[in-house]
This record gives sequence, C-alpha cells and structure tokens, in this order.
Amino acid sequence: MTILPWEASRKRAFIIGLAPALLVLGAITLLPTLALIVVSFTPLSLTDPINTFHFNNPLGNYRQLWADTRFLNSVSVQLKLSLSSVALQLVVGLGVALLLNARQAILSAVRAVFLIPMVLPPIVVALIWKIMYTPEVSPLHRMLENVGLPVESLITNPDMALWAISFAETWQWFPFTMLMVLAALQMMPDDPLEAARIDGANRWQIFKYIVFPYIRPALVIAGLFRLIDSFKAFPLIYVLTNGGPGTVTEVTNFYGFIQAFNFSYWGYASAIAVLMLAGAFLLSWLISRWGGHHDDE
Amino acid sequence: MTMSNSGSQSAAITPAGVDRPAAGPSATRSLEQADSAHLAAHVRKGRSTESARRTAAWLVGIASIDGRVVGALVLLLVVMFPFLWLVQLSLRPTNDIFGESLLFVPSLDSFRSLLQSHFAGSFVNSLIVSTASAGLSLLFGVPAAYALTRCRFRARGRIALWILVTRMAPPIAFTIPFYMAYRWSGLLDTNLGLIIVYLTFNLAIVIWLMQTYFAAIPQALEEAAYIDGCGVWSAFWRVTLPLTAPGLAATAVLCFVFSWNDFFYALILTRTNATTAPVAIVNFLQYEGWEWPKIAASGTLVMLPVVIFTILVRSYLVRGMTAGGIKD
Amino acid sequence: MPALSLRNIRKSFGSASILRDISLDIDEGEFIALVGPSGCGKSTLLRIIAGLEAEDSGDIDLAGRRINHAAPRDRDIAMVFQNYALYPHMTVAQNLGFSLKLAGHKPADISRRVKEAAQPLGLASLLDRHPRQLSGGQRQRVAMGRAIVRNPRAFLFDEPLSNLDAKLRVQMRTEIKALHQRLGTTTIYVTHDQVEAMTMADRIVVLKDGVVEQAGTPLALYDRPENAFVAGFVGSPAMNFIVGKLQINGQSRFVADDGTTLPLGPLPSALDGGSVLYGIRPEHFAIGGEQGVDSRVVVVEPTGSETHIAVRFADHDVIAAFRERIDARPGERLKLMPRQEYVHLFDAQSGMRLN
Repeated sequence: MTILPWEASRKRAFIIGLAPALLVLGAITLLPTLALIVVSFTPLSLTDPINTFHFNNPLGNYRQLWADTRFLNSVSVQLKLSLSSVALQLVVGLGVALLLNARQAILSAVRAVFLIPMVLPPIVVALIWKIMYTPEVSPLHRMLENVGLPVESLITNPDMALWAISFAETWQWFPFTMLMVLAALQMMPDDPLEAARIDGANRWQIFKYIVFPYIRPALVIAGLFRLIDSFKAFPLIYVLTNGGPGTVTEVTNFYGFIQAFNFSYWGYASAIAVLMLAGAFLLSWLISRWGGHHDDE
Repeated sequence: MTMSNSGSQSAAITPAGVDRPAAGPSATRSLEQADSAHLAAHVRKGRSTESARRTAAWLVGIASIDGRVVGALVLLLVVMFPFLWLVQLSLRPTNDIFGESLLFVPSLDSFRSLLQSHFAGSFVNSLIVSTASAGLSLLFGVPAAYALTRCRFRARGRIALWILVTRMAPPIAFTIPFYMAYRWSGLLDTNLGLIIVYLTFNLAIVIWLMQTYFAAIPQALEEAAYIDGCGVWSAFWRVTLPLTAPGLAATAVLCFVFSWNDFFYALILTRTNATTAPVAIVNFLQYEGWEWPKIAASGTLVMLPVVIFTILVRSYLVRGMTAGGIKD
Repeated sequence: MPALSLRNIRKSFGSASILRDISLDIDEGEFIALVGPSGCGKSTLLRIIAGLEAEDSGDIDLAGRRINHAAPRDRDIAMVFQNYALYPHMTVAQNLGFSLKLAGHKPADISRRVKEAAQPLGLASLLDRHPRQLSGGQRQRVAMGRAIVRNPRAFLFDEPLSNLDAKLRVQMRTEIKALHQRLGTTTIYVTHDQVEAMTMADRIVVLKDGVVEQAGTPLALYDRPENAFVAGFVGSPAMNFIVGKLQINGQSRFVADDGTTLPLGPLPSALDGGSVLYGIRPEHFAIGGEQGVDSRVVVVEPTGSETHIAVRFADHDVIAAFRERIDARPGERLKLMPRQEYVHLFDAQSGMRLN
C-alpha cells in the first residue's frame, strides 16, 4: 500500500518532472530579464561602470529614447523592413504553396528542396546575398551588364538598400509561410471545392470565396510568427550593409547592438532591449490568443 | 498453417490458397487462423499495388507536360540559384574565381586551406556546443513536457505563454545581462557559456514540441501500464517515450540546428577560444579580407550538417506507431 | 466475506455528480455485469475500482483489504480496455509478459506463463507479432491474455466487445463466459448492451444517473423488475407500457386512458387507485379470444425464430412477439389480450413497482 494516495503521489511525480526545467528556465530567462530592466533604469556605461550605476534618473534612458532621432529612425526602419518583408513572404509563400499543392510526386521533392533557404544558417544566407549584391562577383549584376542594363550596387544605394535586405529576407523565409499554407491546404475538405466547381465557379472565384477564407487563419499566424522573428534580423544587416549606408538599414535590434557593444552604453541599450522585449511579449500574447498549439482542454 | 511474422512477402500463402477452405479438421479451424491468413494476403496485395502506384506516379510526374510541374521546376531553379552559386563558387579553383565560363574543374583547394586554419577549431566548437545544448535541453525539457501534457496544472496557460515569449524574445534582451554575468563569472568565451545561453530557446522548443507528441499518445496505454505494475515515470519510460521516438529525434535535430545556426549570441559571448563556425566566417571577412573562395567554402561547410539533418528528419515520418495498440 | 465490497462510493466531476452513494457486495467468483445507458457512471465506477480514478468518498475493500487510495498496481486487479490498449511497440509475447517482467520474475518463468496463457486463447502462433499485425478479434484475445497472465483477484472488463462486429461479438461472448467458468475469477463487466449482460452475468447491476436501480440475477431482473426503468431496459424487444388508471372499488380494474380495460393478476392489498403504468412484455400477449382488445396491425417483422408485430393497442404503440408464424398484414385487425399473470404495474410518478 502506498503511503500517499495514488492521485496525490501521481501529482507529486509530475511536479518533480516539471520543476527542474522551470527552475532552469527561470534562472536563465526571468533573472536576466529582471537584470535587464534594472540596468535600463541606470545610465550604466562600461567606460565608467562604478559611477554610472545609479538610479538617480530611472526613466532617463526612456525619456532620452523618446527624443533620440536615431532611435526613432531605427523604429521606422524596423517597421518598414518587417512589414514589407513579411508581406512579401506571405504573398510568395501563398503563391508557391498553391503552385505546389498537387499530387504529382515530383512536386513533393520540390517542396522538400524549398525547405533549404529556411534551414540554412542565417550567416550563410547573408553570405549568399553578399555575393549576389556585390557587383564585382555577382552573376546577377554580370548578367544584367551583358544584357546592356548595368545596375549599380544595391546595398550601397540609400534608396535601395532596405529593399535589397527585404528581398533577401523573403528569399530566406518564404518556405515558412509556404509550409503553413500547405498544411492548411492539405487539411481542407474537398466537398466545398467540388460543390463550387459544380456550381460553375472559376478558379479565381474558388480561391477567393472558398480557399482563401479557409487558409486565412494560417496566414495570420504565419504572419505573426514572421513578424516577431523579423525583429531579430541581424546577420543579414551585419554582413550586407552594417546598418548603412548611413542609418538607412539600421533597425532597432542593430541600434541596440551598436549602443551596447560599440559604445558600451549598457543602460541605454538595455532600455532599447526592454522595449523590444515588450513588443515581443505583446505579439506572443496575441499569438497565444489567436490559435497557439496548446489550448487548455 | 505457419505464417512468417516479419511481414515479408512469404510465398507460404497464395491468394488462391486463402480462398480455398483450409485442409484439415475444418470443424476445429479457429477464427483467428482465418484472420491471420486474410490479413497477410491483404498486406501483401496492398504492398505491391502501393509500390506499383508510386512508380506510376513518378513516371507520370516526370513525363507530364503539366504546366504546374514545369512552373514548379522553373521556380525551383530560380529560387535555388543563389544557393547553388555559393556552392559552385566554393568548388572553383582559387585562380579562377571570376572566370567567365560556367564550366570548370572542381577543386577542393578552398576547403583544404580552410581546414588548415583556425576554422577547423571553430567547427569543432560548433559541434560540441550544438550537441551538448540539444542533449541538455532534452534532459530537462522532455520530463517537463510530459508533466505538462498529463497533469492539469493551474498555471498551464501562463507557463505556455512564458515558453512562447522565451522563444520569441529578441536575443539582445538576453545578451546584455548574460554578457555582464559571464564577464564576472569567467564564462565569457567558453563553450559552456554558449551551451547555457542556448538553453533559453532550446528548452522552450523541446517543451513546446514534445507536448504535441505526448498528447498524441492515448492515455489508455499508460493506464494499462499502471495496472500492469508501472508507476508514473516507469510507464513514461517503458511505454510513452518509445512511442514518441521519431518526435524525439525530430526535436533533437531541431535543437541542434538552432544552436548551430546561432550567430548573435556567439558573436557577442565568444572571443577566440570558443568561437563557433558562423562567427569564424565573419572573422575571415574582417581580418583576412574578402577572400571569396574561402568565404564560399566556409559557407558551404557551415551549412552542410544542417542540410543533411533536415533531409534525414524530413523523411522520418511518424508512421502511426500506435496502429494496432489502440483500436482506430 | 465478499470478494469485493463497495460502500457509499461518491464521485463528482466539477459540478456534475456522476456517482451518488453506490454500495455493492460481490462474492468470490461471481460474474457481475454493470449496465446502464451512457452517462450512468458505470465506466467511472469501474475505473474507480481499478484505481485509475479516485472516489470522492466511500470505501473499497478487496478480499477484506481496504484499497481506497491504493495505486492501480497494488490492487491485484487486471483490466481489459474498450480499445484494447495493447503496447504497439511490443510483441504479443512482450505484451502478455509485461506485468510479470515488472514484478521481477525470471525470463524462463515469464516465458512459460505467457505460453500457458496464450495457448487456450489460440495465440500461441502469434507471440512474435506486433499488435498492428493482428485482427480485431486477435487483439481482443491478447488484451484478455494480458489480464489472465497476472492471475489477479478480479477481472475488470470495460465494454470490451463494443468495437467488434456483431458476429464476432457473439462468439467472443461465449468465449469470455467459458473463460470465466474455467478460471473462476471474480469478474466485473461493464456494458451498455443488456443482451450481453443477460447472457453472461451471474448478477446484473443496473445503473442510471449514478444510482443503482436494481441488482439481481438476470432472470430476477427480467421477471420482477423493481421499477419502470429496469423493466424497460432489460429485455429485447422492450416491455410495453400502457398509461392508465387503477380503479380500486371491490374488484380492481386497470383502465387505460382511452377507456380500454385490461386484465390484472393478483394485487397486493394496500394499493390506492391512481395513475399507473401497465407493463406487459411483447411475448406475453395472446391472440384471439372474445375479450381481446381490438388492435390495428402497423408493421410485421419476421425475424425467423419469432414474429414481431407492431400494433396500435389501446391508443399506444405496442409490440407483440410470437414464436409461431402469424399471418397478418399491415392494416388488418387483431384481437390481443395481455396474459394477466405477467402484468407489471408501476406507479406513474415514481416508477416503483406496485405488484
């Protein structure tokens, strides 16, 4: 006979299984977050750590951020990059998914190959596109030259640099939206499609009125995931433009990086990081409300 | 009647043989012998039709002038072109980088010069850190995922949100505090330091993914194990975990890939000893100038484990291992 | 001392009360069937006995030992699940021997006992197969073999035949009953099929909404149901109920709502008049006779061994069953008379038996 009732001993066993992970997770996420928030209330700078670690002006960094044009620029750049890139990923991913959503066996091989851009180390993606965007070595530039349409380097062009990065990011991540849409398409029941065909709808109408409403939730979730991820974009910018020309491609993440590890203004960089974290939290909360994996049953 | 039990296509029973009433004392022929024979014939028939169908599909797929297939293949070439360009660039002989011709004799010069440099060491670091991080994440995360799946904790929703935020948080939010902590504790520029940091996203991935796999195992199997004599964790170890082996493998690979691919944490938290492969590439760019062959070769090397693993995991489908255990 | 004793078992899930105060004694070697409509709590009760659910209050004693909160493995019971719950990644032999391996028996012992259990079930040639390679009936037998190998104090069956096709079900019924006779182990068998319960059980316990409606031998339930629910639940086709009033003045009479008078057998003395349900089973009608009630034939269903005739009788839809072949057509009229010695009377309000 067990000492504890079976139900209770079972629950205890589960707690023992869960506790170590929660402790570790707490130590490596909650504590650093706490430290981050604390430091963001100080003007901590590594050039003079002792004297700059005080709380005389806790909201000083935040007030300064509000007036910092370079920061505000980084936010606008971030928004431009994220929104354009995610929109492109959704459109391209949707298109490719529709194209590849058929039974021919060879298409499943194509679908598998399309996974590659997504799983490549981001640094390799950055290298690939560094090559593509450097006129001296790029086959694309050379081809255009041979055809008589020489194009100058995109990544040193203030007007085109952000678009170049957006394009590279779309190349890297469209397979993600493609996978999400394909999964939704494959779960779609056949009956409404057949009924529509019998009713005489053409392909565009079928798409607009039947297919699209069904896959829209998948698109929304994919879009949210990609949006959050886009805030982390680093290697592309680091390798392709290093935030330039000027600050044209300096996204918030990059600006924080510069503040922390070029200027060693840790207090200030922490404030930037706190704001980014808040944004990630908000978007995660939205995802969990609009259809995360694990609804509490 | 004896039946080969490996499911191989034994010639012991012919379809005709199944249709004929069995020789021998028909009065005592028990039901399950007919069951077995029927089943075997079905399985054999099904298998040969399946493979025939699949071959036919391949042939049709290749031979058809279906616009969809053509479009897909064209798209494939266009999309993969930048990737293929990098790979071919790494195979060019070093004196022919900017050669106009597309044809060349592939050479491994770039790779050789890479492996003789510091790069090899960084590759090893990447290997160590990625494997250890995946292993550690599984060690902590798998039991936690199981507990969350099977037990109605009140904080379940909050924990789920926490996990999600951890996955989604921008690395810079963690690098600043970790950098400070590591400077003081001496973990800067160590493999261990990276392994710990990678737990921030890997633990979350393990818990997130393994929950879905565990939820797919019917609880009746565990209940049968309880009655047979198992406790909670021995039922988990002997029944639930073996049935989720494919999911476990896929999760481990995913952890490895995410650790391998990381750039930001490694860039900031390592200097010279513990640099991982992605960071080592960038060191080339900054310290040795833009040596394109080496760049291309290093990129190709760094992506190789990831691409191989992805192909492996993809073909490892979870083939309803619960088929037969629970009436479907 | 009873083999299994349940005292005042209560169980609620949230605000829903599933079991209300169940008490039951089961003797050594008895085959008990728990029957009832879905939602009556029979599966929950079985799981509580097994230890997979915890009762809110009450006591469970197995062979005199209190097992209220014992872990399932400490209860010396074995269970056959509705969906078999065979371990997919183990062979049949490993499935059968799993409990023995956990208990620490030597491999030679395990192998011997597994073979002993497999032989009478016809599983001897299937020991190296995996569950996915077996048919439904074979899987069912492996599930039973797994329980038998443990030699427990009690077998618990949770609707084991409900996933099998009709023919297989009939055969497995006989096999399970034969198994019980051979082993003599106390068995608790949950089913929603009252035919299964009637044919297999020594005693039947009818549950409804978490309460025991009646417990007794199959024939006792059939011949003397204690309330209208049990009367209508046991027996197929179901008992017919006519709504009417009992008139007690001098000689007691039953008058249906449409005015038809129906015969009554002997009645207990202390009965008031009032609304009653007049219950008569389909096979207890006689055809013809002067006093028969004029009924219109609606549907004739010959099953081969019986003829079921659905009629319109005293303004009710009634089914009469006859062993003989009856030549009747829909629309014709028959004179039907219930045989008074087989009449069951129930209070229209409470459903309790009156005679």
